[in-house]
Amino acid sequence: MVDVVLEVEIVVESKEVFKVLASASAIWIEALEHPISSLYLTSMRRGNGSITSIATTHRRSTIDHDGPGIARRLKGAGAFVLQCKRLEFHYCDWAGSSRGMNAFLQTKLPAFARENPGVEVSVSPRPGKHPVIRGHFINGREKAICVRNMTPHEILDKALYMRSNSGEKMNKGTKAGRNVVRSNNESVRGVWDPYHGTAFKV
Amino acid sequence: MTRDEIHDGICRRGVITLNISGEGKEDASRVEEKRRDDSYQPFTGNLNAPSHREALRSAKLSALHARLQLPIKLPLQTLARCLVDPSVDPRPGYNNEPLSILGQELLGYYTAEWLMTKYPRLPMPILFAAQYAYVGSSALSAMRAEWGVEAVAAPGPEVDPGLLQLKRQIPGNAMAEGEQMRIKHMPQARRVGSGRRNEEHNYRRGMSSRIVYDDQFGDLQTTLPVSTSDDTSPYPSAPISRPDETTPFFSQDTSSEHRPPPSDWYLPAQPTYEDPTATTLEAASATFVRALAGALYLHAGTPAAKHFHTEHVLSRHLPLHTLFNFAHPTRDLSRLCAREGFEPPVARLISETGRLSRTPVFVVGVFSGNDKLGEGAGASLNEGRVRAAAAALRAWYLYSPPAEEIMRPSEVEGKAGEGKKWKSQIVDIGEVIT
Repeated sequence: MVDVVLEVEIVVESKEVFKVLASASAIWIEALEHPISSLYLTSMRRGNGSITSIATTHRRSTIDHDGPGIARRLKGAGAFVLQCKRLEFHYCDWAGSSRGMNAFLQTKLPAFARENPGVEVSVSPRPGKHPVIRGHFINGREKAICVRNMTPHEILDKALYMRSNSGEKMNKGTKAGRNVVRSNNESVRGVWDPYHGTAFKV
Repeated sequence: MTRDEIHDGICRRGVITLNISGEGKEDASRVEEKRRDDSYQPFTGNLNAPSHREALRSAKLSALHARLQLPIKLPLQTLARCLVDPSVDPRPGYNNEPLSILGQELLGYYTAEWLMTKYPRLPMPILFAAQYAYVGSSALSAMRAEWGVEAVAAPGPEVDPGLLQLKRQIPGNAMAEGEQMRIKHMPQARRVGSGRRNEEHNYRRGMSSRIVYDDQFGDLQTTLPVSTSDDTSPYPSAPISRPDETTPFFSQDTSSEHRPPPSDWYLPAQPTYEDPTATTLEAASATFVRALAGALYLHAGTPAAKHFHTEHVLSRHLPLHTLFNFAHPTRDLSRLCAREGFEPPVARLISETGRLSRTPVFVVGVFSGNDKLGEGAGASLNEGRVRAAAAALRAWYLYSPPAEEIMRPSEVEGKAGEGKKWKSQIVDIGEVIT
């Protein structure tokens, strides 16, 4: 009754197909003399290619999937990505509250930027205002710390705090804002309901 | 260190930008860059993206390079090129399209081999759905957002090269200019083709034709030209031979010596760049991530590309059992048992509670002989039986061999003499067809 023909075929592209020509700053891919390269060239021209072709034939499947779900990122698994993407340092040349900030910019910031290459650092004046460190995070939020009258060392501490921050809102007061641990997996025990298990006596 | 020195101290990664202008002396790298740019042929068209020469000066770009822990072998200029979508720069030598085609195939290949060796019995629709969930455009778009890569509001030569350069499509819900209709209701001037034969007839898309004609997710291709009746190529990637062209690959003259093809033989003689079509942020994000994978492969080799795939794609979580949707699980299960030579499945009641109440619960197991294949709980006997059969089918299809037995084809690719031996993998005969 079952007639299933399954052919699995994986055509692996060999590395020799491409040679990289790096010239000035642009890179061209040049096809070498290789039979598969003709396939690639066509695919490059037409915006489609196929290294992996998985062929199976069958008549009809009763299995279907509900819409396109996507694989979710797991915290702590895979590559680490620093959540702070940009730090802005604002200073004032005139005001006394920026004295520590100005010293920080000249003495400590270059080393800080070198040690944290994943953070984009920008320095800009903000005349007549207190000095501020503003951090932009991957989740789209931003945080700002006023560093008026602080010493360079204290400002470095604030910069390190900002660098290590996740950008999440700090909300320890309300129940909804508290850091709640959420699992990707469904509960083993299920959700409690009053109709099952031991009888509930009023 | 003065501020001017900070301004000049552009190290490779920790670039500091200053809004104050300092009269900086030109350092050696910039002088060399100028020297190399002498051979640069300027693009005569309307340049819509920042020049690649700006890549070394972008703090955003080098921060992105460091944040993703990309290898040193991948230069900043290539990373900048990965961020240039074809919708802003149609020249294939400067946009990310060639890289993204390579990257798409690599990501697709690594994901498919991982899925097929880890779950050898996955049915084809589930394999397509899982492939889309891992390396489809929406997953890659989410990945772009999780890396903190921002997109430009509008493209132009003056924007930072560390931003994703794309020309956004006008939303379909926007009103068309000078019309009383929305964009999506306007008659489309440009049709896209799927590469299928006779696509004007809207034939049914069965699974076999999805495998042959459609893309790696079993979805219709949208980038191919509309097919006319006869000159369609046999499959989307097949080379198109033209009798008037004498290319070395398809040359009829067998007596001549094999000549290497000229490097640009696949390009038209007079490159004409049409006005590029606008794109969506999701499509451009996916193109960027794929281009990055392709660039990693070209610059740093297979190990880097595989590491990238493991760290960023396979580390994601996809509950595969939620992708199944059985129409007739009991029938499928009895077919499966007949095919595999098991005893026919029998449903037995394991436990029950509240049969006469409003909310009864029946725990039903399906047994093949003395082996319990699956178990399910339902509010009726039939529901429990169906759920148990579906659980049994899910357990069958999601079988995974022991981890030490799993070996992917790419692990031994090109390593014939290095002592790594290929272990044969399970190839299942396929899902049950009823």
